Amino acid sequence: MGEMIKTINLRHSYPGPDGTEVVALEDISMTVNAGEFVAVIGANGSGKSTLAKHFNALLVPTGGECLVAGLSTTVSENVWPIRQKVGMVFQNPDNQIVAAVVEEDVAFGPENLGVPPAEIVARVAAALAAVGMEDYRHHGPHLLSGGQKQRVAIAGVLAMHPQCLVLDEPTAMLDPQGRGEVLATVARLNREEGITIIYITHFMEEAVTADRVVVLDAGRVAFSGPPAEVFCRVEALKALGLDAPLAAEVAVLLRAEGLAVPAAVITDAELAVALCP
Amino acid sequence: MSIVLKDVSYVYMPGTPYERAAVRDVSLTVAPGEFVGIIGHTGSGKSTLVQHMNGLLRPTKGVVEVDGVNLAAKGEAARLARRKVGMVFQYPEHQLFEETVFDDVAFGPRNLGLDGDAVEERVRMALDFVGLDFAAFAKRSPFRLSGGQMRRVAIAGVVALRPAYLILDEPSAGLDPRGRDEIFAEVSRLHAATGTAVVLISHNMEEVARLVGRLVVMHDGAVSLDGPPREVFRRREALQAAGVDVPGVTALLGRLAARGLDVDDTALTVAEAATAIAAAVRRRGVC
Repeated sequence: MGEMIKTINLRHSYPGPDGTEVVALEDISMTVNAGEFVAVIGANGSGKSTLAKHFNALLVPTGGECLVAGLSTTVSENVWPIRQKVGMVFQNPDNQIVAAVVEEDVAFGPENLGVPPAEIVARVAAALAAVGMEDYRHHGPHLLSGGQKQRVAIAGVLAMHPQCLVLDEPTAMLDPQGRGEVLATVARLNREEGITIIYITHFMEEAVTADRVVVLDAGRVAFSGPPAEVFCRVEALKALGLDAPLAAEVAVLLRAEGLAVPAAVITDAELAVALCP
Repeated sequence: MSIVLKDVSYVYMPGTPYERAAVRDVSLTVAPGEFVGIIGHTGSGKSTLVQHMNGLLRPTKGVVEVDGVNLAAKGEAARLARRKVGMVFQYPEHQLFEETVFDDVAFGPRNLGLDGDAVEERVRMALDFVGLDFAAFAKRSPFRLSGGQMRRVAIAGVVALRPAYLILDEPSAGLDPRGRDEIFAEVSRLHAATGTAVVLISHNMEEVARLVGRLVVMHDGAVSLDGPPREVFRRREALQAAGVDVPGVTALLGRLAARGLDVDDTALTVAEAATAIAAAVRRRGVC
């Protein structure tokens, strides 16, 4: 597995309103391998979105380095190749949709890459099929639900054939059904198309499905690891202002009651198996 | 003395190809001091329904009364009745516009014609309720605050009007877990301390289950369930038909029961659930 994204002691600071330096990210060293699904969690202001913007060179480090497929984001000739490898999806679907018809919106990216028209048609069809929105290709995006709009936004990025998708709280503005649609779409792109996923979220039940979870606090990596290791640290998560998955929280209370519940229990299904073998 | 909706229906864009009935024959009463949760699938009519409660929308059919006054009537009485109902929209921070937090929160009270001292007292009271320190925040720009702080300033702007009924449409959407907990704690405190009736629309079943005294489930423009949260969340089939998730605790207990654990499934908090599970496992004898 190659390294899709690697940061080395990445630091990001900017001048604050009173002229002093505000440090948003400090000493971030992390690697995301090609094909991985990595969730990033952390409270508001912990630096999640700032970090995400480094992954496709919307921001460049003020210290250290960020490498995308081996290319440094600080070298200006690398910026376009990097942005073709890494696509971004943001929180509000309404801010990401530019056209009045779904298929034209999805075609916007490849058009700007100078892709030949016949191939654009094929890419748009494939991208809409990948997110399960092919039946809506002639619809107006404004008449879609939030979850559908967000899937169109993802299709718009997919049509540019990225190797990696960075999604910054893509479900924050959606209802439970829309959240489920988007997460299932992203998981399938990872599993079936091998697209590397970096998924920022406040919803712990979404992060549980990742291969690996990175927890940010005040601009630094607090801890990281497979979901089973990260989410059984209920107290540490709460101290950072985060939720623990319900099953992990219940497991802690059951252990306090003297029941033998394994440490790695973080989902309802695992708790059910542990309690009712 | 209540908000009373009598057979209210609302049709969007009547007479066009986009005509859609969003609310159908809803009769509902919100009594003073009540804490009512409204849940339902997107498009079930929740937001359309609550916008009738302060006259922002007029029913296509039916009547809305606040404390006995028909909101559709002309004149001073209806205007005063509408003012009794404060509305916090989704993403209320998008409505911030003033240069300082003080001026933003003061906008409503000033429009009520209050004098300077009374306005300041309202602003202090409102900021206190949303947990923002007056000295630290009054002079700051609302646009240089965190998302959670901006939202609290926006809520304070409505609280400063001292509504008898406060309606909040998804007040925690898009906030991180800490911000969400803070907003719900503040709304809860406001309700307890002032007796303001609260109508809360939320997709967050855990919070709704814990906070409200009464839960209304909307489905396809109509009220499908109405009762105490413990009773409503036991009606799993009706909830499923309405496309509403049960709280995570309820789902977990249901899964354990399905695997044969004889567990009491009425718990609504994590602690209650753990107690119920421990009791059931002890009764069974092995684990």
